[in-house]
Amino acid sequence: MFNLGNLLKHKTVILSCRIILGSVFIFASIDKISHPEAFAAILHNYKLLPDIFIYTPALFLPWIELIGGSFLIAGIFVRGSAYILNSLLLIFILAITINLNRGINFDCGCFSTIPGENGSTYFLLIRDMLLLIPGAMIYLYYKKDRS
Amino acid sequence: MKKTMIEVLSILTTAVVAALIFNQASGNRIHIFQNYEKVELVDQEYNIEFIDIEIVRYYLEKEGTIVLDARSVEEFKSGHIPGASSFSINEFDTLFKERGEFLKLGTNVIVYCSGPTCEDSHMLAIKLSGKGIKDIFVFKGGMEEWIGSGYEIAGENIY
Repeated sequence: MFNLGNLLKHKTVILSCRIILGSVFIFASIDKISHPEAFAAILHNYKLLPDIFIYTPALFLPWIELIGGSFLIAGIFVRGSAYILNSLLLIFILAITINLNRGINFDCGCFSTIPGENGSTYFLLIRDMLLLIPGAMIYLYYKKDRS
Repeated sequence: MKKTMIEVLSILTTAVVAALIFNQASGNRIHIFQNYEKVELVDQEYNIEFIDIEIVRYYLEKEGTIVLDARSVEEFKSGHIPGASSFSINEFDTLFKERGEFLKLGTNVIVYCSGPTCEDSHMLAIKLSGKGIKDIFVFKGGMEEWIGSGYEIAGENIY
């Protein structure tokens, strides 16, 4: 008999989630790593950080995405990777929500696309929320010392 | 939870070390303890920003970016940034009637002219902003910097 709970905990489903989420973060990191100045400009446009704290996340954040995504796919520190990537998703959701509420038109920079309209920003918000689902599934699966 | 935290710290350390090594070796090195250098605004009211050549190249790769050459059609024909469209400031009203709706679809509009001292790109940016176009950037260095940097030049390709 079909059981959704068992399906969500199935090894193949979890592996697929790891590949999808990991790939998304690796893909998102490449352009930012290649163009740190441009990513700094995008972070500045969020208007959430003081100028002294712009370059630090501009340099480190893409690498955290790349290493986290790669480890998640490779099966290294899976629980820690899922924890970090889920935390990043929550930070992105918070940042987008704050700026939507403030009515600030900003470039997301999430995947190096350049959305500038509220419509596409809402899409980004929903997409980040949806990505939390595989993230949470992976974390819960590996929480039971399976890593 | 302790094991998770150890894993998190290991990943963060790996990422920080990799980022620092890459940053040292990279031509696009950034100084992390420096204040962010704000872009110079043409006009706060219009929210038009100057951008440098690397940001132009970055945006050129992105879908939805529109690049406009504010110089004369003749100058445009003689050589322009690949992917740019001729939008001579002298023919603004006619061109905007033709392409205004198209420009509104762009997520970023980059304008440029001959070089750092020309003002046509600034004027075009302000006029476009006045017509309701958002996210306009002025490539301050213009063709002079583009050619000087040795990047590809297109010609005889008017939009």
